[in-house]
Amino acid sequence: MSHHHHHGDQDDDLLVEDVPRYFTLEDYEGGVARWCPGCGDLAVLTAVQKILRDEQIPPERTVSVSGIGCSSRFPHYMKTYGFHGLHGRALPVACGVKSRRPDLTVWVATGDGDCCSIGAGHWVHGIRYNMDLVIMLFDNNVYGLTKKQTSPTSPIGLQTNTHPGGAILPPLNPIQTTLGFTNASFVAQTVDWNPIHLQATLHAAYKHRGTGFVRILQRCPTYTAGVFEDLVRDPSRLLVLEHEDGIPVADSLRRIFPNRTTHDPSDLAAARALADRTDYVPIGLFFRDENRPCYEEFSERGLNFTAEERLAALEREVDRFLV
Amino acid sequence: MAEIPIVIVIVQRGGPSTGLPTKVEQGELLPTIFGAPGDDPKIVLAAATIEECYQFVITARELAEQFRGPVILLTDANLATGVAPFPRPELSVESMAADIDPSPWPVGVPPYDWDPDTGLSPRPVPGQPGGEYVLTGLAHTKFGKVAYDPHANQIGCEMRSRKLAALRHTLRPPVIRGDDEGDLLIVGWGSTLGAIDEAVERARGEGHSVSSVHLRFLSPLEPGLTEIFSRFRQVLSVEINYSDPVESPPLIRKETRRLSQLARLLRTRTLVDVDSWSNVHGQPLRPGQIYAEIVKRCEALRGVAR
Ligand SMILES: Cc1ncc(C[n+]2csc(CCOP(=O)(O)OP(=O)(O)O)c2C)c(N)n1
Ligand code: SF4
Ligand SMILES: [Mg+2]
Repeated sequence: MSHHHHHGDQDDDLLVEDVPRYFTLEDYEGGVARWCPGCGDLAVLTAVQKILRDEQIPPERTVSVSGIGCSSRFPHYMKTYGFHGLHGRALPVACGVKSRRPDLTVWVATGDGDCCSIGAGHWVHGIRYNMDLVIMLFDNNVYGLTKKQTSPTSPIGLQTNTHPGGAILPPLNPIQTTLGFTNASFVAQTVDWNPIHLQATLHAAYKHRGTGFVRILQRCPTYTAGVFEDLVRDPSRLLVLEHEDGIPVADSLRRIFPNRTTHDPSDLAAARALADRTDYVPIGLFFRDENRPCYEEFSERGLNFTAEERLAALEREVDRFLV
Repeated sequence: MAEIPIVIVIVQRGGPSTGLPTKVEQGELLPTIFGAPGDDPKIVLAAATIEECYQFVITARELAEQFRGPVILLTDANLATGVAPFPRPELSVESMAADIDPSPWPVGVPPYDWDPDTGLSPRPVPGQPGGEYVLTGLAHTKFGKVAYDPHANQIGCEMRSRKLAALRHTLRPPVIRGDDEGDLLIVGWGSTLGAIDEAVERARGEGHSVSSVHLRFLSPLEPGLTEIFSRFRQVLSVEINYSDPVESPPLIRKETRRLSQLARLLRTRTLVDVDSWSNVHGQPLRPGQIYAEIVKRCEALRGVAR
């Protein structure tokens, strides 16, 4: 039962440590992405890789966690640690990683089915745990991987395999929903077809202390080609949220998006009112509070103990049961 | 099929479904070992005493890391709510998980570098430079890639199965309480140890030819069982989960009678005609009940010419 490798005893390891490392985009690029041509997932992948490169996060200190779905293939296309787990269960895994390894950067890729149907319970509690990670909700309004079933965010009338006569219920609005969860600390919305806003939003979520929840309106040309067409063609349908504490809006964006409004992301009531709007689709930062409790504050305790300290703590526990 | 170390403790209570929520049962043996889609070999052990509940958690953690997979520790409501004094455990740094090794992962070594004999492989831990790989719940190759070709899943399943074979190889046969051979052998597992021991002692004191073994490893099963069983005229599992009573309505015959869970497991492993005595009253088995069953069976066996 021999382990045939001993890592750590190679002479050149030490050299590696001493050489300053500079990471290029390639250092984050895993296998060739097998998404359909025109799929919005690719833009998100690129944005994340650029953020990691810009921030110079070592690939080995990055973990991408997903559930199941087209979007959940994300970890396979990253050259970092990854966990492509069970449908709906990305958040428990991500929280588990973060609870014992707060030193790692964690990115969660989840779909509207993965997060808002089967994983909805974990969504509620993941947000409430507010651990320092980024949740990227790839919302293409459909179950893509399984070839077009109605998802909770499918618009009324969308013809799918489960509702050939058209989806019948009003779609769930993940921004409205998340703003209602206790301890939500960062809630933003962006679109896959504007790489600048997309990257700026994900970057802000990454910088946030706590869970950065970003809903990304994601095009799926294969199964929901029409759903975002209006928004893509007519940028005036979007309402860009601006604020000095919000997502930075580059001048180039101002030229594209005529409709903008100032929104203070510390104002939860205003954020909820914005989420309720049906005339425009707001993009930007709805809400941020850096001072919400994070579960790490509890789960990190004892991580820095030496073996002897842990032993002493255990002995004290055993003492309590002495008779 | 991520192959990550995890210790899961299942404190069994009465079933089926929500059943007898606060009462004892040993009804999760087979679901624990087999309840998963596809082939999912895992290590399953059961504590028989409160002291073992403590020790086995340490064992389970070591096995989970060494075998890179789930280890399930079965206990039950009896053990969970009981109180028993035992000697203060000797704690040591060795019995705790080692610190995470952040040194670089060796170049060229795949994340599942399965040893062809044992299925074992060292595990890259996030933070180790060069070890970056993707765990997937899907079938995977040794590179951690989704297994698209037919052979990859076959190989992965074979490698995980070899881990159980490797562990089984290191286990010892169970200790026999009483003589090495005789009329009746009782086989138990989990919290029934005390009751079975007491019943067997009493029956033996009255001259009955009965012995017992109590299993701790249920998956892989402890070795030597076929050989031990062959030295007894009857082998009987005693446990707290459902089996059709011997005196059942006409449609249940000897060959169609549903046996208790350990009995079924033992039969598949040993091909011995193991019988079972069990109930689902939601109560701990009492030594007197077991004793009465032993005496009944021993007398019947004595009445039958060898
Ligand atoms: C437990 C379980 N239930 C159902 C499935 C089948 N399934 C796979 S992906 C999926 C939905 C994916 O939709 P979404 O999360 O929106 O991801 P997308 O493919 O659209 O990116 C379903 C139902 C599964 N793999 N596991
Ligand atoms: S089916 Fe849709 S979501 Fe899935 S890869 Fe294709 S375009 Fe992307
Ligand atoms: Mg989807």
